[in-house]
Amino acid sequence: MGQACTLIEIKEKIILCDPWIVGPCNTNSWYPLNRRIHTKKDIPTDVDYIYISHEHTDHFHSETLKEFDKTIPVFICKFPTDRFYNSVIKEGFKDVNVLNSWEKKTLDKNLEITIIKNSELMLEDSAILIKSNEGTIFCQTDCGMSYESLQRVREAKPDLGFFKFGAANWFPVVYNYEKDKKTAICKKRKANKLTGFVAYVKAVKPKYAIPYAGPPFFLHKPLIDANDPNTGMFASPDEAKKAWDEDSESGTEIILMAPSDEISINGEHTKNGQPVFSHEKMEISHQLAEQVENDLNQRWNDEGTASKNLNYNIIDYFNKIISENPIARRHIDIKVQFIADGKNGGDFVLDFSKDRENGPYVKEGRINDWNYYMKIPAHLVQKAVNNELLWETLFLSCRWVADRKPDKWNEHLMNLFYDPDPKRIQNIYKIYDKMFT
Amino acid sequence: MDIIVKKQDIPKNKIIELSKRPKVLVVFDGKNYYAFNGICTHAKWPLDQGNLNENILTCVAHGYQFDITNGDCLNNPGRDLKMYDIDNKDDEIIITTG
Repeated sequence: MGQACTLIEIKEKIILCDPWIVGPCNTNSWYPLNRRIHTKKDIPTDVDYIYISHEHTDHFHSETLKEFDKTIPVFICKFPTDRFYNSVIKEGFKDVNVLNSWEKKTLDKNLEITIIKNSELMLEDSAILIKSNEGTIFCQTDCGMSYESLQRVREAKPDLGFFKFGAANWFPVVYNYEKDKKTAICKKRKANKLTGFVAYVKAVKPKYAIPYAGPPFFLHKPLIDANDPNTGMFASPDEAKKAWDEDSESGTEIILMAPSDEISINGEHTKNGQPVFSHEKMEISHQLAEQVENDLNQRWNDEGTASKNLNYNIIDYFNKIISENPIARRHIDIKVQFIADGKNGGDFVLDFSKDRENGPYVKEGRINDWNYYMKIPAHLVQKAVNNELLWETLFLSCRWVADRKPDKWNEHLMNLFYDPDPKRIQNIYKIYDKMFT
Repeated sequence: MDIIVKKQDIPKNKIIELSKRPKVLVVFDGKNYYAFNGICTHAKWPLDQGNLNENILTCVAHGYQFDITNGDCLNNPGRDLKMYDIDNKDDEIIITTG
């Protein structure tokens, strides 16, 4: 259907995976990688089951999910916290089924699903294996998997495999790099993702592999250049096929599918939609940007403004999550210049220094010796500190600016933003510290 | 556990697997030998599938990079590879995995 959204029909039963079909996601920022803008009538609401891999809004999309009957059974993976389960319940679904990783679930006499958790320690995702008498299908979604897990998938002998081929992240898009440096990083990341696509397909060896779960597609003007296949990090599906062909391993055929295309279990491809994107992507980007401009402006206007109390809200929020998570602070061990940009915003310093055993951890003002710099629209910060918007969703929007000194990734900082639940954080560091300290 | 390997069995700039459990890999860069744990610290992929370029090893699955001279993870500091001690003899090396 586009992006990771996949409709799988087995005899009379239909499973819809990761429905995102209409409207932008990730804080009114990403659009599906498609040559046309879908409307509500494109949503296939007549389905028997819904599988949602994880909470990122290009997979778990409220605006799309609103159109479905809330008695449709939904299947999700068991994650370390109930946050995702609670979010699905909040969407109104009455029959939410949580499966342990690798637990097999028979949905019908001829239909069995297995949900597989990702191997990452600090974030949550899943993939799905669907087996029936007609054949076996594997959908990776965005899920970063261990080699061992993929070997188990391979043992199931998938006929069709849907594999991620592109980056879906804010690095280096939002970073304050010189243009040449940013382009070089983008190219490297893109190449790594294409190498990863080849590695995953090789590990699973389905009869047919489809590059999918495409990268973001930005249709607002400040970010439209990030779509550029020549300078950006977001690959097109044909580049995934090229990477596979250059690696020249036989046994799997790569099939390029566009949104709305169909494929049978024996690889018969029906082209219903317009062709997949290739190097003409920028021309289409500009056309579609004009098409959605009014709607997108309206959506941004509807996001509201920050309250006059935002500065207090920021101080309370960060003092709470930092004081509740001393083990995370000791691993983070940096100072963050945090700027809530715009009306009712302000400048803040978040002090995660490992030797700072007592708060306050937040103060207003600017410093020169920051290690991370984050400038985020104040009204979005407001939603995040109100727990109405996940930081991860906000970051994925790429509607912010970042910098860092030294230029090093700090996964501990991002992990705290990802979910500051103290129990979750403690459990992660029990494992992390055993592995790496 | 000690692993003894003849130097002639370790060609220059190739990733050689010496043991599966623990997974021990060794690289000879033309001057020095480096032995390290061969499972990627990110998503547990076998690093002997990775690409080696001037002592930087890139995991094929998700692009994690490691400096094999010291185990440092270059794109996620802290997620470093475990390095193993090497006793460099005349025509063989002895790797101690602890």
